Amino acid sequence: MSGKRSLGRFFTEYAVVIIFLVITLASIKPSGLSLVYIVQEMLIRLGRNSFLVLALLLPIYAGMGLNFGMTLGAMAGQIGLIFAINWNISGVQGLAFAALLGMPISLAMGWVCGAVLNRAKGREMVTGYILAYFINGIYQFIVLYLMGSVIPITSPAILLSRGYGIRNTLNLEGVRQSLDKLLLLRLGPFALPMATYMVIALLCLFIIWFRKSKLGQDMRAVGHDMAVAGMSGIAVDQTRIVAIIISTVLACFGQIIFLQNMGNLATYNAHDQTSFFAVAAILVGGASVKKATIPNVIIGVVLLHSLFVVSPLAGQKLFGSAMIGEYFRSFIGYGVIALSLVLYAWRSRRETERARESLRGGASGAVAVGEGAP
Amino acid sequence: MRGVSISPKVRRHRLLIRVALLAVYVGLATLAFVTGKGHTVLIDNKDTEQAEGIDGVLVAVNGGEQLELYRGDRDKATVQGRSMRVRLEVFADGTIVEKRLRLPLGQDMLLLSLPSLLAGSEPALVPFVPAAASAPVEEEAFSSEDLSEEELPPLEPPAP
Repeated sequence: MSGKRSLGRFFTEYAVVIIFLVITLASIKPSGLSLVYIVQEMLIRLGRNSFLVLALLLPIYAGMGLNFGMTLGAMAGQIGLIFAINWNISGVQGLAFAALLGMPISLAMGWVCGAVLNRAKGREMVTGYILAYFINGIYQFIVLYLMGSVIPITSPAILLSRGYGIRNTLNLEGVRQSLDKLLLLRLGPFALPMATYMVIALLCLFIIWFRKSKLGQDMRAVGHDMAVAGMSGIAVDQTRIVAIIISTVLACFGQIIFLQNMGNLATYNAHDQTSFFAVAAILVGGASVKKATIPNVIIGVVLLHSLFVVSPLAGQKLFGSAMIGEYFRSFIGYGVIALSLVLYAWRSRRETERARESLRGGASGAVAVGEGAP
Repeated sequence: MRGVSISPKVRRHRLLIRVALLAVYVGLATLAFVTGKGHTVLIDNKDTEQAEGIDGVLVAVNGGEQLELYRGDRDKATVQGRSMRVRLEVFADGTIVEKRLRLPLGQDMLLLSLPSLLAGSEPALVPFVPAAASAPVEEEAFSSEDLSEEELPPLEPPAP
């Protein structure tokens, strides 16, 4: 009975991971892709996306849920890259310059986001999501109207022909895969971007160290119970703001790493779905709104992106249209987030009921003992 | 927290750390800018006032791919940083010339005259101004309809 219950608990705990694993494995055969190709794609995408997904961890530790406001950091990274291209700064130096330029912007954005989220405690995710839309409007205004007119942009390669505003797609030729190719290790048929992996590993080490630090412990205490943390002298609001600032700055760096791998920048919408796919990845990895770890990130990126690789071709082979696979990608992304949130809500409610039942059981037991006593 | 008074020593320490961090930040940004600045160098083998074009020469920039240029030819190389190494090998007499040239920070496009470099006449490397850029452009009123489809933001975001 207890074995059956623990098996059931395992399935409900990892329902999203299991569903994803099954769908991915089932799609590999019809896609017709070789295992070598899929593994190589995974290695590339692991380097491209992991940093962005890792940026979600700290707000989860602080009990702020999935930080949809990370889009703000992504926008800051893009602004840094626009300036790096404008001044023709190439190579890893171009990436470093973009990161350095994007950092103060993302710091400010993170502070704004944290301050807003502190006024919307308990509804951080939806607030972050809508805040990203609001800041997106400001970003579009700056990039489409102020750059070139008020903000000096001189490169004709990135400026619209009218003399102000940035082109829709920017070629990142100068910085394209400069981090990935900095230390490329060839291992049989596979090419491993070791420099990117090292940056990701450094971030993982930072997160591990940070969790053990005073601020990290405070963050976890705030995430566990804000009222108790506040009573024990922790500056709750400040800690939450710090969590969001760090996440936003990491998202800025993550977006730069993502875009250098892609090699081009869709100026007006590259950031649109940054948070969406990062959130989907971490949830696919088995994380929840309240609990996430580094392995969740790695597993999630591998699982989500392996499905993204195989689904268009599987769709083409099975239904005769690659578009079905493309729709499937969006459907899967939104579906995973919805399913995870529903499962989380359902689990929380069930745990509350179980706790209530055990309390009732304990109370009735006490009464029974009391009644039996003379 | 606000009520706690901070001693002047701690305040001075904090200020020093903040100033040092700001200096490191500005230093790093400057370093990235200076060492990462890219330049397009047009390698020109046309006649100049001082010397005639070289009839057959191999050119390598920063030890990269060798370019084979004849009299009147022009090619380009992309370089990064504050200096570049140029190696010339003349076909006719086998003369080899190696030079390190300093690149101006503010110029994106430069013209390197090979005959001037070989003759040793200065300056061999000069800023290049495209003819089209120097011609005056007629001002036009702009409306959003003037934007081509490529320039307008698309409705659908790209897949990751």
